[in-house]
Amino acid sequence: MITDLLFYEPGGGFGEFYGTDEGRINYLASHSGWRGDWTQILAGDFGGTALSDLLFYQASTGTGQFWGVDGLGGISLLREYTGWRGSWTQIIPGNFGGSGRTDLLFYDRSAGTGEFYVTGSDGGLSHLTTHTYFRDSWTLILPGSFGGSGSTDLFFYDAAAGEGEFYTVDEGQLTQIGAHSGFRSSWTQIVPGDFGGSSGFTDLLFYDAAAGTGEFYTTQNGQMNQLRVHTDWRASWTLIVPGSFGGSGLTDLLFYEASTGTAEIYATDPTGMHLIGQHAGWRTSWGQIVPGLYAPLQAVRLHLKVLFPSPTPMEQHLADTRAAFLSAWIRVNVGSTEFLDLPELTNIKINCKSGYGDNITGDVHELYKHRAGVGSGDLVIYFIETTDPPYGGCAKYPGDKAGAVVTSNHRKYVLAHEIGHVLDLNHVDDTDRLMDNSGKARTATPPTLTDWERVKMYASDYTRNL
Amino acid sequence: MAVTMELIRNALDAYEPDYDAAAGWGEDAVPLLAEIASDQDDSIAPAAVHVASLIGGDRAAQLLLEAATSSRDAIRFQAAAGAANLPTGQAEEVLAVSLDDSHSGVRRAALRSIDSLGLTSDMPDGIADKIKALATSDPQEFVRVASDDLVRRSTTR
Repeated sequence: MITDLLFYEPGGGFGEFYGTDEGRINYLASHSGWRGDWTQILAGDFGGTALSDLLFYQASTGTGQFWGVDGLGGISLLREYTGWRGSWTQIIPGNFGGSGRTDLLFYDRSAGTGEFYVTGSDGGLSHLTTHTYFRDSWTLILPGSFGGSGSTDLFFYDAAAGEGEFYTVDEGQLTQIGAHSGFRSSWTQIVPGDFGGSSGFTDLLFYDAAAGTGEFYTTQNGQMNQLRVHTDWRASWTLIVPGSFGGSGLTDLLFYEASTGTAEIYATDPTGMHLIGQHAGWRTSWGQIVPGLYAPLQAVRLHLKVLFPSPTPMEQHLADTRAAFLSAWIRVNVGSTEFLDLPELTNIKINCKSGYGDNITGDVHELYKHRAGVGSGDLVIYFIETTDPPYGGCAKYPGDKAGAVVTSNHRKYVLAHEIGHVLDLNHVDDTDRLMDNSGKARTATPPTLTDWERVKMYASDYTRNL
Repeated sequence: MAVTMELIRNALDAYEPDYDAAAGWGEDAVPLLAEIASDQDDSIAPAAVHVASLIGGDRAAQLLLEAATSSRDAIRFQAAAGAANLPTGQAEEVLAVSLDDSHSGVRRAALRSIDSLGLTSDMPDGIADKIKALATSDPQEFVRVASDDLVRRSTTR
């Protein structure tokens, strides 16, 4: 399952949601005015939508807020709690005995206390167990499958003592299954994932920033065995985020370096790692990057070829299309954007009488030759000035070079409408619906899709399952 | 059914207008189309020009001639392209304007209309001169190539 990302900037109170696509990231939405001192944000199933919900914890006020996400980068409050301890050091998600939603372990280092809670619908919480014998020196607690019990197990790391302990959890009760000493006290971050170790057990990546070292370990019933060591890593990675970002099935890793505003995404395999995405120009102030599922699990991937700037901002085209496709549970990814200086193809003759399909003009044949970076199953959208005769868009494409043109003669939702054609939808006469071609004023925002249209979209060769 | 402004606006505001149906609106629709085409801010103005070219007649030809001098590129483009649907004499008036257009897409549309109308076998001197000039000095290669092709295939009146 694909992993999306929420970026949080504490100082400015900004949050931005992105989808991911084979090492690329796709902007979904941004938020400002968030509190500037959320201590921890974590994703899970807290009783909201089928996508990841979010828990925001603010230590300074003892506030916890559960939010649902809408698939487009929007969020809505499920429930707010006040009066929480201000001294929770870490909140750990997992399956600790609840009903299938994400349960929570709250750890208070100063008090040496851990409390397990199960979650209900809409952010409801029920206390499960309290433990008052926790060490007051755990640096980090990680969830994973370390004992194979079916519930979420826990790994505790004590940097000062150089120790690590594994526990299984059953209905909020802890049982130790392994203890290790002699750990470095300088591990900066420990990342759980599937890095090619024992099947059914969570592997661990240990990152030591000062040494520029990364060490992968496999675990099994509380035991650890080294998989491989990397000694040439940057010493300046700020955050390492695990997820599924387009690699081969094992856990991929996003490395974020705040000082340069850069990031690299690596796929992992049993023998090593390989780069699948590089990014620059990111904010240097992201404080938390929260992996989760924030957009639908089906996708179309677009490559945007801009021959003439659309009078409508590209982000608006994409936002409209995403909104129109949300009810079909399809996300809209952008694989690439290319600006083409092709004046001979900016105003073209077109044959769009039947709306979509083959039977194309010479101009369209020439236009669709420009496919740099386009992969199998991808769509190309050509933004041009105008067509003869004039259309808002047209989805007549040559053979298997699927795509559409969108003209500067803007119609709201035209990009979604043309992609709808490519996904095998026909015109209808119903102003509520996306494929309406009556020209009458729309009566639904976003325009709707019927169940049958959604089925056709799912079945299209151009809709991919993430 | 009487063609009303509402019917025209709805039909032309479609993502993919049905121009075959619009061509049957008849000459009574042309004044309404002219009203739309003259509004520089109207998103359906280019479509109105195109439909007028399909309906034809003196008023439609006048609409295209006025559209050929519009300040909006998309409207001038449709005038040049739509001239291919007019009788030769009316089309030549429009195309003489469009060949001098500042927009390369409009000039190329005019060249295509000339070809479509079969004017290469009986080209007025004025238009032939303009095409010869484009063939040698147009700033856009694709216009020079299209012009040169017409010149080589043309016989003048």
